[in-house]
Amino acid sequence: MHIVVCVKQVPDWDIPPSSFKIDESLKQVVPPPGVVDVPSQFDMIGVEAAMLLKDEAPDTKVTIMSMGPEAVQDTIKKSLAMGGDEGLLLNDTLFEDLDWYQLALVLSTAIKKLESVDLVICGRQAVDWDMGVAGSGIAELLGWPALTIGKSIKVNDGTLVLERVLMDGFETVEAQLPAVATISNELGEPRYPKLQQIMQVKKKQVTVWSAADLGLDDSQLGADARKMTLERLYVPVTAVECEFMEGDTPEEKAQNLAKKLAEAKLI
Amino acid sequence: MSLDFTLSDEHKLVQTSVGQMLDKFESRKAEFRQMAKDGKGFPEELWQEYAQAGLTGALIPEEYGGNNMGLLALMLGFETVCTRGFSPGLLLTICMDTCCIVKNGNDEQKERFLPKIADGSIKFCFAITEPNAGTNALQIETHARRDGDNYIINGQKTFISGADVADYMLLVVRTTTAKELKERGQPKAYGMSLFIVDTKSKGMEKTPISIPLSDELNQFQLFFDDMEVPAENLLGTENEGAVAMFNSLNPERILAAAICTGMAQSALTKAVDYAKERKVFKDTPIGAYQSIAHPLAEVKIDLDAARLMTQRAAWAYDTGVDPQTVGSYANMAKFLAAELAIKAVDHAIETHGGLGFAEETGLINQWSGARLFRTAPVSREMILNYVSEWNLGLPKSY
Ligand SMILES: Cc1cc2nc3c(=O)[nH]c(=O)nc-3n(C[C@H](O)[C@H](O)[C@H](O)COP(=O)(O)OP(=O)(O)OC[C@H]3O[C@@H](n4cnc5c(N)ncnc54)[C@H](O)[C@@H]3O)c2cc1C
Ligand SMILES: Cc1cc2nc3c(=O)[nH]c(=O)nc-3n(C[C@H](O)[C@H](O)[C@H](O)COP(=O)(O)OP(=O)(O)OC[C@H]3O[C@@H](n4cnc5c(N)ncnc54)[C@H](O)[C@@H]3O)c2cc1C
Repeated sequence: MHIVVCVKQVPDWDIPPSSFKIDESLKQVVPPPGVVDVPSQFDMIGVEAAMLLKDEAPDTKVTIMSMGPEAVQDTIKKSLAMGGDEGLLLNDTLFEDLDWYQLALVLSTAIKKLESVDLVICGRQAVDWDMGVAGSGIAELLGWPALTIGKSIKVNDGTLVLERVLMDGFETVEAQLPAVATISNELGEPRYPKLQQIMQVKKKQVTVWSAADLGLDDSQLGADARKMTLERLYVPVTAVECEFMEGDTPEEKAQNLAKKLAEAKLI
Repeated sequence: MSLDFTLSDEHKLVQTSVGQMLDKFESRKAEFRQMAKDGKGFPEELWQEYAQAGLTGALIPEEYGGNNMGLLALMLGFETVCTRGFSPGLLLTICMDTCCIVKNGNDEQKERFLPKIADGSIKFCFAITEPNAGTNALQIETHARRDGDNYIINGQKTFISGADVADYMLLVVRTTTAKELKERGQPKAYGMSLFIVDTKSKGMEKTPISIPLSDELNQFQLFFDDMEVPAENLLGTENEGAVAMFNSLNPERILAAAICTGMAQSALTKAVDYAKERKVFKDTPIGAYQSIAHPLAEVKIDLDAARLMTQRAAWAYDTGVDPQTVGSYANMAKFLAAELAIKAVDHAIETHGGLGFAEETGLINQWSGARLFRTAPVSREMILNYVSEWNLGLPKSY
């Protein structure tokens, strides 16, 4: 089996969102100075999902694919240290400012070029924009089924079995491979690379493909080819009022809270 | 063009991976500390995780089950463990013992011990100090006498960390006594020998010494009364153990320095976080007062310096720079880092006011841990002696 895991590098998601600024005129997010880029949280869980499948079927090949500047090698290397076999960096100035459709186009074209890919794994969403469209977009363009937001993943005789996280529970869905799966945090903590695995990273190959390697050019990747227009980027103003419940005992405070919620027709 | 202050991607990965490894134990630090206090020894679960991560195998060649990533990688791992407020436990002595076995052991010994050290199934402590021989290690009196296929060992050791949890100990003894040396006109460094000793050997008695430190290791006084050790456990050549041992002291100093920079970072982070939040007068956080801020800024400057010195020493060791130069780098790094750790914890306590003394803040017990490193494994005075003599060419006074 050949699995491709799509990984993305994002500004450190541990720092508070309020430290980011918005340049409304340029429609751009301005991260605070000195912020470092790290692997997107769910993508590392996606790598973990691939490694769990590889634990079951050791002859599985796992390719780690990332689109971005040279610096995303950090995330590729981390994923290789977790047990990925090969890296694929999609790097081109044409890839710098894409909308979600163009992103899916680049990634799906690369998957086609890789040939004989059975399964594509993505994180449920990237933790910078939280859009959650890459997995479905890739599946759409490849014409493959997309099984999203998985908390467990299995492959039985060419059938992908994914337990999905719903608002009110779980459901198990199946699809024939080739398919795309997106993975949620409920799968569990990603493994950490051990020193011996880190030592092996140097020996693993990272291939770099440009837009030309994928047969793509400005006509597909330029501003005119975007399908999404960003109308306005701004921080919504949300007024938060905080009220402490009065009461002499915890019971009385709870009763007051219940009354208040009932008055507001919330319960 | 070759001076480059950035860590390699692999070395950065060691930092993040060790941090990730510790995440799952974050909520259990107090429990681990209590275990040590209750005499239950170092938490085995945490030790196994250190081994799984590859920390015990970082200085062991791949053919013996290690990953051989080197001292710089290991040093960064140590620093991360201490930055996160965990104890490296026996890692310090085990890494030093490992170097000694890798450099001086025969094939049979390497095959017997190294793979098990790497996979975490055995632990080692190190025993050299005696009541009359600490700084002056050549003065040890514990003696081993050959008797057929065994050596018979008599004497005592003191301050031996982790003798309760270790399966084996690297024991430094004399096979030629001081008196014999004098009679034969041999140099003082001659006549020392190294043995790998099973800590459950008959004839060894362990008495705990009460030292209230936070490193989750207990110290012991050991008495050897006709303890038999198989001759095959002699490490290196009989009587030539001094050189073998001194060669392993550089890694120990470098790792001790890394423990100190980690402790300093941990204390500094606590202090800065608290100084941003705590308000004593009006609405001003105490971090706005220069009497609180400036000492912390100084700690940050010293921390960067100590870290660079420590990395330089580890890099020099890994790249095969001559031991004399590595020795200078290692000693200087250890000196700076140990002084820094004390200063960092002290300022963190001061920043916390009365809370600095509360056990839950974790600073007051860290203080004794930091303070230890001024004195051991090599004292501040002996480092200054070393630098005076070897780096400045001043006459030796002792
Ligand atoms: C918590 C702890 C754990 C330890 N763990 C171990 C262990 O696992 N294994 C082990 O073998 N040992 C261990 N030790 C022992 C430690 O290595 C010794 O305490 C240390 O080497 C100092 O020796 P000493 O205590 O005999 O001091 P001394 O040698 O008596 O020195 C006393 C003081 O005199 C100073 N001094 C001595 N000579 C000179 C000189 N020429 N010039 C200037 N000043 C000098 C020293 O620097 C020191 O400040 C441990 C000690 C402690 C406290
Ligand atoms: C072991 C122990 C015994 C004690 N016993 C008693 C007792 O018996 N009775 C009792 O009433 N109290 C007692 N205390 C409390 C002690 O007096 C307080 O801890 C002390 O007054 C400091 O107050 P704080 O802890 O709130 O620190 P904070 O007031 O929060 O101060 C934190 C830090 O900020 C610094 N700081 C604050 N304002 C400024 C400023 N304007 N400029 C520069 N720096 C500033 C302080 O110097 C300190 O370093 C005890 C404390 C301890 C640890």
